[in-house]
Amino acid sequence: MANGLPALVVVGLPDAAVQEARERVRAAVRNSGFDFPLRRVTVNLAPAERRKEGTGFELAIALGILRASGQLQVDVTALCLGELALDGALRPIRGTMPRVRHAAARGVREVLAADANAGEAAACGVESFGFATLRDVVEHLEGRVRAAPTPVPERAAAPRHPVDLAHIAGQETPKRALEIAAAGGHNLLFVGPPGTGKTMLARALESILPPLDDTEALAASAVHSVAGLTDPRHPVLTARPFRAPHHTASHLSLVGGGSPPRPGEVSLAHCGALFLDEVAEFSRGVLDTLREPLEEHSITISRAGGAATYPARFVLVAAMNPCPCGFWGDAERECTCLPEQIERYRGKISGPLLDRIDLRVHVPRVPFDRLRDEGRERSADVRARVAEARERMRARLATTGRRVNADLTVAEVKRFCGVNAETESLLAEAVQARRLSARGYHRVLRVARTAADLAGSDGVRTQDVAFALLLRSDP
Amino acid sequence: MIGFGPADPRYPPRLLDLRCPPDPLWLDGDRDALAGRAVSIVGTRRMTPYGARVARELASACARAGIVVVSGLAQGIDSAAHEGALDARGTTVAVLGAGIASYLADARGRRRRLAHAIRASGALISEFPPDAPPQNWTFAQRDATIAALGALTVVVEAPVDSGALITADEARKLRRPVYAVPGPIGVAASAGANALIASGKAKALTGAPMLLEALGAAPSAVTENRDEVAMRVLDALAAAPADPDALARRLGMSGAAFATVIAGLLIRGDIATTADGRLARR
Repeated sequence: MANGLPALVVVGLPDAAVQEARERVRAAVRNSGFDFPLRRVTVNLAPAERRKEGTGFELAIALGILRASGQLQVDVTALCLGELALDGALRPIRGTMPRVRHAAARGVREVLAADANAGEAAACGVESFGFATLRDVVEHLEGRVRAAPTPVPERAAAPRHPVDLAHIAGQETPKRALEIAAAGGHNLLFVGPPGTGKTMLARALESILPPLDDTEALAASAVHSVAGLTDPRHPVLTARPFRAPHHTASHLSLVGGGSPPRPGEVSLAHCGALFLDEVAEFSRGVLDTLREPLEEHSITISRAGGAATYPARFVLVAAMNPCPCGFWGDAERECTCLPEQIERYRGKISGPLLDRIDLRVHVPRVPFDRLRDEGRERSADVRARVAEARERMRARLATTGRRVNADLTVAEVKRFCGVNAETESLLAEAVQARRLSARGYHRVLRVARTAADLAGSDGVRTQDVAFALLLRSDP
Repeated sequence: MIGFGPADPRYPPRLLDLRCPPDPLWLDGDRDALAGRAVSIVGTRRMTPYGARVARELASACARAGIVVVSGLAQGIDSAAHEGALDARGTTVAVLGAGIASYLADARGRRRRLAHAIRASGALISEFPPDAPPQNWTFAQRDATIAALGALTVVVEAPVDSGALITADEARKLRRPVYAVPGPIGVAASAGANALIASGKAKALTGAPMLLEALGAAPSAVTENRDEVAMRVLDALAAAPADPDALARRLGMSGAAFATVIAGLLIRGDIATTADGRLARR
């Protein structure tokens, strides 16, 4: 604060929203019953070369001005997050959770935030206070009215999934593939004529994904917080996210982008599943952008103002028709597509994308007389088996830093996926006859490892390899 | 690329049976490809998986017996026949409906790769000057050339208005035998081929051995000893590809035993997974 004409200047690469904060801060300070100093006030946001975005700084700026002008008598050591309204009310912001997590990792133990954000902050393991107005914050800080810390919000009850495996008749092989995908984190492609239940099967994946552990839950919730999708009553996710963007999605909405960079569907699906229905209808450029998240399990969005890296570890489930009209090879309907049209259509998911898909399964039309068959397994039972398999994986892979079999490196495949000599020689024969590529060979073994984990077997058995061969995606 | 007329000693004598033999005939690839015994395999562009398998199988059997496979390098059955011959490391000849240079300049992707593979182990031929673009009438005319090159003509799947039926007609005019592969009643892709059989214009072809016998070639004796379950799998997949669940039901098998049998056949290459994830005979 310096002598000069009355002014409020914000320096340190603020964006438009931060610049506008000047007006909000000025009005909020006055309307909360304080004086706005009639001097030249300079607010410096450090580090100076980093771009500052959004409205979360306003509470901190206002408290800083009050402290500097002597209207606030105590020093503030807490992280202060919040947007101010002109009347001095405190408004919630996006992205509370990652900010609090970052600050907590650097030793900040206390957070002051808007009521709606306080639960999110408390979930990150710090002492969190929620307030309705700037005045309340000052009263609390000066000890006149001590607010009670916000309790860690309760986890929401386990959600009810719209589709249960028991709702789906027949489709033993596709269901088995789903189970393997859920347990081992393998990406999966469903192919079949329209109306055979590909979408329903894919949606059932949600119901058999293993429960989230605490670190995963916080990581996934943080991404939702940045995107502004957090439920204030239950800020921490209880179920793995399941995202299903429409096939007209742009690459910005899929992998994230904009300025400031916002997370896209791949990041919102972090720790969960990403479902691409009618995958061949997505534009090729959009599908190409999936390459990085599928390989790196994260996505870096670079913009002029800086780069943001969001996590993106998800199981990809894609569904498509066998050809543009959908009836290629159908026993009941004639296909009207020319071979080259079919090839172009399938070419959409070839190459880099297909390389990352471990399982490809045909979803046939279920004959009418089998639609009523009974004795189908419920999702809850499958989910228990999947969770058990994940546990086996975790124990085995503890030293490697990997969580699921789909991530095993070639060396780890050698180490963990040993098969008996007879099976090994069969596979070697297939590789030699070029019926199996080297990449395909490792993929078969990874999937076989998951099949064995689901069966509770320590070693990879011949039948596990057989299943993997049946479900493999490369021709 | 060379062009030669009927007076040339390398000119295939079978073409002289045509009312007006192509003059000159343009050829790119192996000049001796036209010297051997040949069979013409043609069919629709909109083939079914069954047609694809039969065309491939017949072409492979002929190629293994040293017979040249002649077709028109169109999408569908024609391409499957060429690929079948190439798979068996045999010789195959593509008769183009456009000039050779013009075709190669326009072809893209898989069609281009196939054309180059054929040129490397057989020949591309055309009766049109190298730069001639394809036109409606050029295809009808080259159909006659295809018919004349083969000692006999096989129609593997043709709907009622198929160009493959022109080839069959031309073969009949040349008094060469015509065979058609019978297909299921009610499937449009086989209606024309079935009509050929019904009208007596073609004989029903019952399999590769019959074709080899008609061509006077000894069937290559590689009948493998497969176990009984494997035979049942191959039988069940003869008509069309099937998804694993349906196949397992038909065989009355399930779980690990089924997967093990199928995996064995996949590894040996007797069956393969199709692009839509079903199981098909190769």
